[in-house]
Amino acid sequence: MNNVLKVLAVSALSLSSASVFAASQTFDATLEVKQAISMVKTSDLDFGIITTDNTTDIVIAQGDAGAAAFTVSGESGDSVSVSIANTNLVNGVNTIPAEFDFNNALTLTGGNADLKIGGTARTSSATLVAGTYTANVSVDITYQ
Amino acid sequence: MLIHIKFLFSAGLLLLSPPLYALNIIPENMEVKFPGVYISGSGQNADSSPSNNQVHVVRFYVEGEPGKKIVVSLPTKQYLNHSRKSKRIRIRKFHFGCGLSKRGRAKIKSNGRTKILCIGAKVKIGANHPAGTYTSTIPFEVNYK
Repeated sequence: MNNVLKVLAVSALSLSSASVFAASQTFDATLEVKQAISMVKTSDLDFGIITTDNTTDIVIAQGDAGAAAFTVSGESGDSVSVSIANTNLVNGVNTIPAEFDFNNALTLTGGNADLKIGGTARTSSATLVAGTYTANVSVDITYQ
Repeated sequence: MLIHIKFLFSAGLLLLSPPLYALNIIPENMEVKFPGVYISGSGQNADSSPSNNQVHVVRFYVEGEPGKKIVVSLPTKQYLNHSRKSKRIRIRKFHFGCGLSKRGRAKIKSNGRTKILCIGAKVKIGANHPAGTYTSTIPFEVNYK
């Protein structure tokens, strides 16, 4: 019986001798998932009312009452980029070129930031026809 | 008597087997990161593979007996844990690359060291995974093949 145990012990030692030479380590894995960005519009951009004999461009500054306003929410402390393409305000077949004035980089302090959008309606270079000129403008916000 | 012969035979095998050098892992970068921006609720895949980048994957060498083959093994089910909430993301796949074959094998060169070996990982961020930092420490082992 004693010899049987010896045989088993030595056999086990022989079979497991390779694993004595194994090496082990660890590594870390890290993934950061950010809060999704959301926007809430509180006002649209309003260039006001002009007459067809107007010869100067209409400028709305970011701080003016007519500026568009959004509350942007996301990962606290992160910075986001804002992009808005120039467009045309359209009234049937008549158009007025429009450019926008905004801060193209915002910091989400406490997870929020205010975005104000002013703009310039190039009425001086347009043929003005009475009516309402409008555009639906996309605002794109991405994490930097 | 038969048992005694078996004992001697086994002992002889142990003593006559050629000596192996102990394997040694030489770390270069022991962290997998997932480059890019991942948004909660979006159902994105995050993939850090040595075939795409060798900056954000684990990199190490193995030293051992020249000419011998080695195999890297990892536990099957591993998770990244949220730093503040009891949420976790399962690691769907580990990637082997650089000097490792797709099955995690490599050969020790004549200088007693492998080429640089890399391990990456792939996870899927589910729609219900909250924003935050997910981490884990993952063990792995290197053996002679």
